[in-house]
Amino acid sequence: MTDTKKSIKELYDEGMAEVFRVVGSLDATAAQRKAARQTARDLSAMLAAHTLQSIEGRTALLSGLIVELNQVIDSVKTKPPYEDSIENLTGLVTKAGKLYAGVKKELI
Amino acid sequence: MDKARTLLRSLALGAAGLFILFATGCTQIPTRELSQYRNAFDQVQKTSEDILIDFAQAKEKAELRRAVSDTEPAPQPKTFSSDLGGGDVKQPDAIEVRRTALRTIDKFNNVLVTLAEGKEVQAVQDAGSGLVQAAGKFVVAATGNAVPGLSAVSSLVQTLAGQFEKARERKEFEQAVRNGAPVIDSMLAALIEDRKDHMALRANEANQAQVDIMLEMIPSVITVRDLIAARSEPSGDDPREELQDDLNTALKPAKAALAFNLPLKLAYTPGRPAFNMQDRVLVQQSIGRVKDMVVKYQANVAAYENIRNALNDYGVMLEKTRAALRLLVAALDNPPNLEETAEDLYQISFSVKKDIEAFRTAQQAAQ
Repeated sequence: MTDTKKSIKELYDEGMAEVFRVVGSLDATAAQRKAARQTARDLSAMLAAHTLQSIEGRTALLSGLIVELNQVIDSVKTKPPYEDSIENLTGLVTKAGKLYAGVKKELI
Repeated sequence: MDKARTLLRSLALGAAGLFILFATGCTQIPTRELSQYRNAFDQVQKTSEDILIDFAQAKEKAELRRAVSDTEPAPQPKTFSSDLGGGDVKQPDAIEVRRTALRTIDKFNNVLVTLAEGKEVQAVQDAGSGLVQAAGKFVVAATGNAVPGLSAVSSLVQTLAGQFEKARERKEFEQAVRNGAPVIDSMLAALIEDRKDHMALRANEANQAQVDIMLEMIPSVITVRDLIAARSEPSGDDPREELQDDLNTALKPAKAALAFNLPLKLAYTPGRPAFNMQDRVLVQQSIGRVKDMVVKYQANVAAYENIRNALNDYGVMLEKTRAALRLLVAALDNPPNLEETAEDLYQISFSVKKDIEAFRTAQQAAQ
């Protein structure tokens, strides 16, 4: 979590806790309740705006990832692992087969 | 003798070579488990769609909340513009980008499973073209110049399609999939991270709802307290204790939201007019109002808990998907047994769906 995001969340949590104390109290005045309602709305709007900004940022990140995916696919031509060893093995078997054919011919 | 020895050595070499080739080509493929995994991943898709629907709703509400708070500027009379117009670029839609990201992950998974199942190149190519299509839609959803560099994306998709067309051999697809895995992993990571914002939006709503509920509930409690305090003990039947119990029982489920201790004591004031029947009706009406608000309070708490559980489970589901994809990518030639993972994904999907349903019901009850 970035410092700005953390401080906004801390500010929101502290502010909302104070609002809850007022609206849950039997001793708060009507004016205090009204102020608490407005504070809650302001805090709520602030957090909503900030969260929406964060969502938009991640939308950009997700959009960027597709570009990377394309670049990755673009570099497909690299040889996969074990390809060389399989080729060597195939060569070996072919060689063994030729040797066998030669020796067989000599025997007959 | 030498010829015979050479022949035997050649035969042994040939047999060993053929055995190794045979063993490499005939690795036991857990086809049934892979098929189960494929089905379980379909379920993951459907569940993710449910989460995205809720995310969209939460986002929409937050946008309204933000719009309401913005101080309205003085209206600006319109002038005639010399611009030709028509050049406005649509902003990327956050939900559509995420939905198509999920489709891309699904298609990638499909290519992976097709490879792991040891299918023919044609089948891998078909699965690959599905990935290209999904990626194309993803880019269409994401295209909008709000994201720097995205204007060049359309041509990149064509490159992607071209590369998959060029990949005529299984090994080329395998390599593409191996190289693409970290990108897909990052997409999943972004979706996992998204849950925090989703939760922040829903928690914000729950807080706002609680403020509204308390602003209606507490004045009713004050009415009860003040009305009894403004009266003295009646000469006949005294309902004070009964009303006090009723009020405290009603308030108890909302204890965590109260800034005063329970039980609340109701007291008469000597010298004031005696508590009468009309007062009693008024007090009962106020307690009834408190009860209604406590029901809403409980529903609001339940809604919050349910969406939190759903998002937590959704996170576990995405993490399991991530782990399964990593396993598959790492062992394409020798696919792991994903039976347990498939079973877990089914179970978590069910749990997420259940929590979302409960959330919707509770949210309606809280309104």
